[in-house]
Amino acid sequence: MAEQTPPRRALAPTASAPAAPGNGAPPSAPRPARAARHRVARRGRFLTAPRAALTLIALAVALTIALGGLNPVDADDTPQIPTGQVNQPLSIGPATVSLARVRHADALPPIAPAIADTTYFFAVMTVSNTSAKPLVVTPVASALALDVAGPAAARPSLYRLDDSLAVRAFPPGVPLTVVAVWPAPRASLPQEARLTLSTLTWYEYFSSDDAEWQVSTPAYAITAPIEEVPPR
Amino acid sequence: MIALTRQGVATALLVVAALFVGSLVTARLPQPDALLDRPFEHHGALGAPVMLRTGTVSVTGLRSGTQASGYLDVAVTRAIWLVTDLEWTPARNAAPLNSLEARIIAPDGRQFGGAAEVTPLCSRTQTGVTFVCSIAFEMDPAAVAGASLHVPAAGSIDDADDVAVIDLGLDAERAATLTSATGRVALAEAHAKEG
Repeated sequence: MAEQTPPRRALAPTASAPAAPGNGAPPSAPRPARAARHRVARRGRFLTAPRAALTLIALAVALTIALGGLNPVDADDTPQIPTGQVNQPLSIGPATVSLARVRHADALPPIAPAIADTTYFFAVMTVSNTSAKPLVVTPVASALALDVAGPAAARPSLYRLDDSLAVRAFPPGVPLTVVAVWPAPRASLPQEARLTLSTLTWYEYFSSDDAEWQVSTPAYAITAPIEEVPPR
Repeated sequence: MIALTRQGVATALLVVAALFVGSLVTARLPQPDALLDRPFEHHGALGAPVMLRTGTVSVTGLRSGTQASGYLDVAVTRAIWLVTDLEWTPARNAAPLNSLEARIIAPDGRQFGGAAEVTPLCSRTQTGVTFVCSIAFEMDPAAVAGASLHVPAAGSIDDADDVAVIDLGLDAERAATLTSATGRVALAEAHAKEG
């Protein structure tokens, strides 16, 4: 039985291993293992450690360039806000806002009483609640920012144009024309103002059942000329 | 080693299929927590009293106009003011009618009410005494037909508490009449009902 078992092939014959006698192959013919060793040796001579490192560095630089990593850095990295137009309804999430005009006066009773060294900027706009529930005024007012010369104005007060009452909420589907009022210190009057509208996002608190609209990111910027309130 | 027989494989597949069907059925059954979190609605109609745990409320009338006057202010709208006249009888405690949280809900789901420019004058109360007062709602005229009034006993209409759901009887004809009004409607200040 032992004589009928075929000889087991060496898995990795070495150069020093003698050729099996009687296998019929000429002793000078290159064997596959030897050819592989030659290829590895040639590759080893070409791909040295410094060359491999240089190749990796070149690849990293090429990848960085491809991804824009070497582009010149802008001097002004302020995010660009999309521009809106006067009388254009612009969505801020649960509502649309359409700015009609920006006006200025030192007083406009009853919504802007005369106070020494204080002047007022007024933005007349139409706000439409597009959600299904009443939208309270605070987040809407917080989404409005007016950039004029001088210190940045705080959150405006909102009044209904038709009855001069302070806005408390915007009913759904009822467009309201309102006046946003910003008090400001008296200074030289700029020619134009820039109204920024920010998006509102519904925020649910993790620790309680409370939820509210919160100001998210600036969505639109509208530049409008400043007009004087006509005398009554 | 465990031999995989045809019967064994069939049993395993049956068990997996039974678990799958069971999970589907369980997902479609109402969950106890969901039921507990829902408002407890008490339905009624115009003129009929609806009993809540804090008192009994009824809508006695509807008025409308483009102006609504309260204690101090007159609010003007380019839509419509819908004023609900109510009666409120507190139960054991002198709880006021929860007028600031009352809502009119349109058939399309839109809600009206809350922080209105005309404050409802419903704060007066006394246990067992019926009071009369009004709440004004600034509404989209297109939302009036089919709308209903929701008054929570406490908290909001979404809380798991008593909520009166009152059908205002606003069919298309009644809605058209109300939304075409142009005058001024005055809110009734809370006062004890006579008689």
